[in-house]
Amino acid sequence: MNSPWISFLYQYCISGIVFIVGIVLAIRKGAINLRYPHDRWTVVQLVLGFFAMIFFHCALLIAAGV
Amino acid sequence: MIRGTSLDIVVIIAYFIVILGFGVLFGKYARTTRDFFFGGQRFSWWIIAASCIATTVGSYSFIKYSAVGFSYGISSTMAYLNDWFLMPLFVLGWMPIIYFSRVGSIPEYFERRFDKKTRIAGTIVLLIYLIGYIGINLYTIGVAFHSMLGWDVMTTAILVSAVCAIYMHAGGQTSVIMTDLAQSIILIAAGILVFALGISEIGGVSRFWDSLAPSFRAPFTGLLEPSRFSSAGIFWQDAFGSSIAFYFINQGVIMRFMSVRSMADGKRAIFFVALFLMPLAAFAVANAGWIGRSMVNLGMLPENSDPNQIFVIVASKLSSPGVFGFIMAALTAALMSTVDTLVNAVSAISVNDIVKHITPNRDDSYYLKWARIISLLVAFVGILLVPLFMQFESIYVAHGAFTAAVTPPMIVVIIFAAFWKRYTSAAAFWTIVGGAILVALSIKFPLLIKPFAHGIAPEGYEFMRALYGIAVCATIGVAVSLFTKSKKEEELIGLIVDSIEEAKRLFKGGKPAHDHVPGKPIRGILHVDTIEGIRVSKKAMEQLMAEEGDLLYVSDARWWLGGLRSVHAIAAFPHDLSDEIVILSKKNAQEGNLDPQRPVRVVKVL
Repeated sequence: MNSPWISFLYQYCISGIVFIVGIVLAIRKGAINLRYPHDRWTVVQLVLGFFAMIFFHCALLIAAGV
Repeated sequence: MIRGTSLDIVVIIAYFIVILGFGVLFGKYARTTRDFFFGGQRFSWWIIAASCIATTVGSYSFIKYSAVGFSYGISSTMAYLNDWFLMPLFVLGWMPIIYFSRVGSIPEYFERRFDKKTRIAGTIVLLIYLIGYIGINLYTIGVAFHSMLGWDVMTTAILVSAVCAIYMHAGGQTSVIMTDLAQSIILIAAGILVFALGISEIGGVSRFWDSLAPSFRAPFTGLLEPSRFSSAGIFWQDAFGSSIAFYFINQGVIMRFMSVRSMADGKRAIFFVALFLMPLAAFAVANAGWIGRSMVNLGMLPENSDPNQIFVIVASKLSSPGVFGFIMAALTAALMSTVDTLVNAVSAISVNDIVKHITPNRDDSYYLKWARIISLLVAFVGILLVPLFMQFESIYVAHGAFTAAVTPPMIVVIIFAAFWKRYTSAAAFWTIVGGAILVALSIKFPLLIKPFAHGIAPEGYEFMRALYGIAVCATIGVAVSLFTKSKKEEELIGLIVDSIEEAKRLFKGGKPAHDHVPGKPIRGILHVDTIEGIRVSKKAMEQLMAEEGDLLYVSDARWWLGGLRSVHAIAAFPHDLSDEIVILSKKNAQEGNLDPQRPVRVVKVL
């Protein structure tokens, strides 16, 4: 349980659920409409940002040599 | 104790004078309460993003994150790099609601979404949260200056809050944004400077990196250990407690995002903050701790160096006279940029939720006078709280414990309010009151947190208080909602995520036409007329893809002003003059501080 990789998985699993719920709620409740390019682009930016953070943390963990 | 030289003191005093002058200079842009609290809703995304990072980074940040960086390593960045998952909830839900519904404060939102008693409960909790936040920042700067100059903690707190209060009193949100822009540059530069000096002293990046143990280099600690800095504890305390509180209930941050010229700029600002500026800020505030640990491992600093003092120890060891003063000025910048935002926020809540209720229907200048007076009073109350925070074992513990204790009820109420239309007024009230009682009980009886603690040792329970608080508050909210009646949907228009389109219509005063086809910006020379709104040629209207009644944004063509001279105006009928001419009503031109005959840029907003 002391490996930082476990912490990484824990954080991104829980935050990933909240992240997906946030996007699904916004779509289902009509806050955004994926038929509009502007709203689609916002969702793409959000998803890219999430993966960018995952990639960033992965890179740091690998660089740390743990 | 580390003594600064006379040159360091001169640099710090010069910094105080420059910031004071800068803040007062922009005071001329605050003519109404809308200017004083929301900066006239005119600023570009990059000014908001930069000033926002200065607000995020308080003086406690340098001390607190350098201390944990010294003790636990690169994992000290955890708290700054776990916000992105909140972006859908903030960008797609909460930010459009507050922006388009034009709420003046969160308690005002509570009254419109729920009822008056929820507004009162919310006002009390928010004022405690914000004023407490001011107190902890003043305490931290007091500790730092005590180490450096030997000044009494209270003396420093009084001096710094006086400077803040003076320029806040003069200029409100516009002064806050512009001084925070300057201060964000100073504090990031100082953080990078400390790292560069440290690497130079140590003998290169490779030597620095090799001197640290692998576990120290990792961006996470163990899930459950060490109990005083486990990644599970930090995740719940900082990501769910502090970050949600920061983005969703910190009135100062909300006012900052309400100062942007459009929602599109608001999104750009928050994305830039979370993806680029937060990692940069995490590095800036914590690297003195990493450098300090490396220097200890290499025998360049004593093994028993105090983590709470490590920022000042490292900065003083690495820098020459004057440079050390600059780094301490950055610490002061971090403090002032956080405190000014909070003072402005408390002033907004006090005017909107207290003064306007006691003395309703006065003209705007009356409320503006009160806003300025309250700014002074709040800074004074913050000073009185400093002795309270002196009683905690460390700044990190004091800050974390305070936030986790105050925020869970408000977090749950705001998330449920915005995203669950079935959430009732009674449930919101009892979530705040019952939640606050149950969170307070967990401070007296920490064993209540045990079922939520994931097996973390008891000394780490307080880090899991946010999870406990969110769980009990959510349970109260759901349970009471199931047995009480919610408001009708038509009463909630613009206040819940289900009706953001309606909120846009209300914001604009008409149908948000071509909402998703923004057109191309145009440039022209400004002329002033008596006809209401803005008029451009027919060709320019086509280029903007605008129609009569659309909301346009006119700004001085000099991009680096960042919207300081700009205004929103409704498009009127097109003129028959040159395509290069933009005609604006005299009233709009005055509101936006726009000068006739100057080049302007026009874009369609809604």
